[in-house]
Amino acid sequence: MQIPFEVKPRPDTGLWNAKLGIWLFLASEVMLFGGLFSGYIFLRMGAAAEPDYFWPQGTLSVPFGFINTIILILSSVFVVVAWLQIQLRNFRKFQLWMGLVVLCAVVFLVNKGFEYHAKFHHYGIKLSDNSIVEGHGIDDTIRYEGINEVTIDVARFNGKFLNAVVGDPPEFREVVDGKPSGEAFALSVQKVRSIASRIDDAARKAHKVSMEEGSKDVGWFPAMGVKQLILAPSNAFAISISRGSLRKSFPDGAKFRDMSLLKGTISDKTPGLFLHAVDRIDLRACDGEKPEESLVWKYLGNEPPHASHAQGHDKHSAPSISGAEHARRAEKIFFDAAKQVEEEAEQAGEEPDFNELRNISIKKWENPEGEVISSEPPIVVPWKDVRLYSNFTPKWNTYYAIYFTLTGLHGLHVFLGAAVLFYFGFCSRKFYEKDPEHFANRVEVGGLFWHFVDLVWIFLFPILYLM
Amino acid sequence: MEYTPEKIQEKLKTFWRVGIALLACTVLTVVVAWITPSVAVGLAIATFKVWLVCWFFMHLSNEKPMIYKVMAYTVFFAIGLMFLTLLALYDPVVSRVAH
Amino acid sequence: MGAEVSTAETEEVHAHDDDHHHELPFWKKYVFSTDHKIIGYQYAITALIFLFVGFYLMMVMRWSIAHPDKELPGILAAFLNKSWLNDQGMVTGDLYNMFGAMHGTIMVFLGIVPLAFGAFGNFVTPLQIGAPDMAFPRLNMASYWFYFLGGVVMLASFMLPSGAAEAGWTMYSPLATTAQLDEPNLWWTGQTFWLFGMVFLISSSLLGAVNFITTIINLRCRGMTWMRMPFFVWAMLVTGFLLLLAFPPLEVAAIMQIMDRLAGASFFIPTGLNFSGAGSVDAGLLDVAGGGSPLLYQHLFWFLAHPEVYVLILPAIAIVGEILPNNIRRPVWGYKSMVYAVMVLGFLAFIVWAHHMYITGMGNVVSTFFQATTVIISIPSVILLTCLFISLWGGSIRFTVPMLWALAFLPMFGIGGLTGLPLAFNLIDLHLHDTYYVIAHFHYVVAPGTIFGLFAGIYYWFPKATGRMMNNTLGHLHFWPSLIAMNGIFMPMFVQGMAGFHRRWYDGGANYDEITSRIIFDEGSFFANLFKDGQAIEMIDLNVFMTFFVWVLCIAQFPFIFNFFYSIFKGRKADSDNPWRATTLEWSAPNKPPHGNFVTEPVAYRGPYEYSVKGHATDYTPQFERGDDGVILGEEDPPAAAQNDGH
Repeated sequence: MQIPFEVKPRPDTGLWNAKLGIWLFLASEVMLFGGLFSGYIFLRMGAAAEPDYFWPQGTLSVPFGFINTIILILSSVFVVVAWLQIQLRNFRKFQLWMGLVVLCAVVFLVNKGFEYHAKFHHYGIKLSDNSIVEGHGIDDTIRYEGINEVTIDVARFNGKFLNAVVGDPPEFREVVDGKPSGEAFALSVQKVRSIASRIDDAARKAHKVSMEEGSKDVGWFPAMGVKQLILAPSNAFAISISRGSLRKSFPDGAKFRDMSLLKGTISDKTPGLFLHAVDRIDLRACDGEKPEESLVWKYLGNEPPHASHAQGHDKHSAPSISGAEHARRAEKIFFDAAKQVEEEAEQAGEEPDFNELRNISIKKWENPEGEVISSEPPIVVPWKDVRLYSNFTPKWNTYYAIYFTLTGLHGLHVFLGAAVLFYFGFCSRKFYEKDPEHFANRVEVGGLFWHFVDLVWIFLFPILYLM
Repeated sequence: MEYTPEKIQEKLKTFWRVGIALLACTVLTVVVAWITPSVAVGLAIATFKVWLVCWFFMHLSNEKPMIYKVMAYTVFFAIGLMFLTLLALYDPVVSRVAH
Repeated sequence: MGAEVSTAETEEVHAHDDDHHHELPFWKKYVFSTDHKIIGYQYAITALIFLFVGFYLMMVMRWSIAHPDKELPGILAAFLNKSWLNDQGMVTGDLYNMFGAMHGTIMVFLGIVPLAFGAFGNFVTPLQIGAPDMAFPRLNMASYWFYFLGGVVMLASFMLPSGAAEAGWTMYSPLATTAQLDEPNLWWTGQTFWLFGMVFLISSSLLGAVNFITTIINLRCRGMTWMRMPFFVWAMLVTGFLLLLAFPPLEVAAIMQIMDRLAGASFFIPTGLNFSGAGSVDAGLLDVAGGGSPLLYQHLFWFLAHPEVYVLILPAIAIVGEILPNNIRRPVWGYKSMVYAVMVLGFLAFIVWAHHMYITGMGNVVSTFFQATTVIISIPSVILLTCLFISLWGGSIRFTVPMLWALAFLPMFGIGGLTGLPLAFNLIDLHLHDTYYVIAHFHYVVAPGTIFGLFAGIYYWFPKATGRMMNNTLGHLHFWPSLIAMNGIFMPMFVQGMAGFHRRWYDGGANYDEITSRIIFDEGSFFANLFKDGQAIEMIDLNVFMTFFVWVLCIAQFPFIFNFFYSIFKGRKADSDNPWRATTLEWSAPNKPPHGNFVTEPVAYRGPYEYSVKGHATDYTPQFERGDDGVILGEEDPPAAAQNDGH
């Protein structure tokens, strides 16, 4: 059986099937990216309406985006040239141009990888007064000491907290009526299951007896079973863990993802979240009336008591200068730069730009006298003052969320498109020889998709990098 | 469509010229954004570039009515989606009655 | 075009009832088949199974609504995880939420759309336009398997410790984003599975839509001009466009919600959202950036979900549009106006979505706009229904089983459609939003509406697919109780809804009396008179009434299940390839059409519904019959063609 119009166009519509098909597919892709773009507009406009939310601008490297745009445009030209070579039935040349297209795609994706990598290793901390510091080298280890009670969610327990215990894991005993009882045991998932089923069996028996005595005609249901176990360790122990892997951290305890709640106190050795090298301070949303009142200045320059712990990250700041000195310089840069912005605006007779006034890179600054000051202070923010911290991933704000979603989805299209074009270029010789016209159609379809990928990027570049 | 070698050479030239125009527009976008971060200008240039790609590379210049129809509907609805959601954002419930 | 079909082979096929010359292995012929008919059967079987799963979920819910204080009966409890029941063996609120969400999802995305669009579309469309297969057979197969995968993911979510998704079939954020956050691994939750399942289902529909539109535009046989296409094909074309352009925004919404759940993004989470959580496990501010908008999700969701409503109903209208003229033995009245109506419907369907969101605090401008478009869209719907009704006038009606379903469809869809009109108006909608009135409205459209249409289609095309007729008596046994039960279930919901019964009360409004006593209506107002003290109790009694009919409806399906399988093997053989004496092209193909469909090249010589044409020996003149006056459009004089086109 032969499907009609696979190769030759249908006379009245003038189209062969795959061409119509790819355009329809592209129509759905337009709606896909249209939906994402309307999401982008919605979020951005929504952000403009919120007093405490500032749409990040200029956080991406324009040269990177520029190079990637050039690469994609070139690849688009190459793809049509390759297609023309097929029309000339010139397979070698076609392969050459197709190879260039695939190469462009690879370079594009590698570039993208570098960009992503930079974002993954750049961190931001939002303080409780909405001040923001950004920088490199985070250490979010948190240590709880004197843990003497553990509450376990029977259904969800996965034993992960035992990995965080400092030293050997202790043995536990069940707490019944507020007192430890029974034999001490090594905690494991199996052990929790067996305790739970023991308690459940007892309950089931008791229920049966009471049902025989009474008359309520209800069987035993799992909902009647034990939900939580309270355990007491044989001796108080400590855990040390990345704060990010905890579900919730309280001053008097830590809750793990599996709902295990450990009661203890935060150790003095981990007073807070440590960022090794701050490079930008953003006080636009700061609650205080004046930037001087921000909590940032209180904590900037502090180093954690166990400074040796983070030595591994130490390549951002010169070891000769203390954290406090760095912080002093940072403060000077911040306020001098802000003053300069104000003065320039005054000369021009305009209002100073709020963004430039309160959101300042402190890494390097040249003052009007031509003196260059650089600073990369460390900061330790006490846990109670950390509202949010993250690397520059979707979690940090909606801009990065839409940036990663858009570019990630676009990258996926680049990858798939390149894979298909690679297949046409280097694995389809036989098909070409059998039916060159059909093959040319396929190349055209692949090319159409590739152009679409290109034109999505043409929109992405200005809206993500430039505006 | 017949693809004679002469026609193809001609097309080849067009494609390279369009490619150069696209590169020039990219440079222009960056320069404009550097001078003044204007959203409207940036989008206008991008739209022009997209038109170039569609018209020449995707040879919409020489396409069948069916494709035009499909794409016209699509673009219409995509814009409708963006426009109407935005309209909803900027039209919250407010009392229009005088206080 | 179809001429390439090797005559020798197809004749062989016809003689041996589907035995291929070069026999394909079983798994290639029936499992990974590229034949549009086999894929249609696959869709049909899978979708019917899902319909029954969705029905089961609904039975559990209805039990809880009618008997919130009674243990779930063993026959229903046998299929669910006992730990979801409370310690009295009753349905819990969580279970109700989960089943409610999954009932909607399964019925809409895994049941009706695949049955209507996937199964009927696949089986009938190429046959009706005289194509040997779909334009992209392998894509067609991929489309089915994406759907299958999506279904498996959805079903698998029931096995997870968290249970399946539980935030309503609409999965509104932030409710859906924060649901089941108490699981240790967020990938391993019903909510996340739902999102990934949807991504599969959406991909399936997109591939399907591309395939259908291409097939209809490009693979019509000789003489099959646009205005000679059966109405069913038109409806499929419009449905294809609806799926093609409306589904991607939902895919966006699903991807964004995946980012919110798994990558900690806040697309749909506003700043400072205070989360109480299930059982307050994580009460307090969420550990996210905020700055997102829940409304964005609703816009993206309803941009799909409103066109989806027409995806649900158009195939059913189209099936009825095929069966009706065949059983009244006269052309469908106003074929052209139906075609234009369905196109207008397809267009307007994209710009009415926010009427689902009146209650979100839209301003006057936007709500007026959507109110206007919504009222306008009722016009083409009414045209469709009116044309079908008027067709009945003066026909000599044959009450065959498919015709019974088709006839029942008309008033049922009419009730569903007309009760939707009040909901189009902002003011009334604010009162009726999320009440049982809405439930009744769209269930009348989809359950006694679409599903009746689909049953009609199954009875109608069964002989084409199997070569055998379905049993008549069992058909009646299926139809009459179903008709009564459907109305028994949904009619009281209108009353309840106007009394303010909320759709998500898992106890069926056990606390309703107390609540209404606290609502103060204006003295002398409509509602004050309607709901005096004690009324609510009677409203609650209606729950028991409706749940009784759910059981009736369940039992009424057994004749169908038996009939279906019995008739495949033992049913009465169809007397010819055209047992209904119908006019459209699919009846020119042999029963159990072979791979490639047609033995002789199909050609459309005339319009699709030439019944009782004067001067013809029989009361039907098939499209494929040349006769004295057959004309192949495009190959004859255009004026003659135009004359032949209209009736």
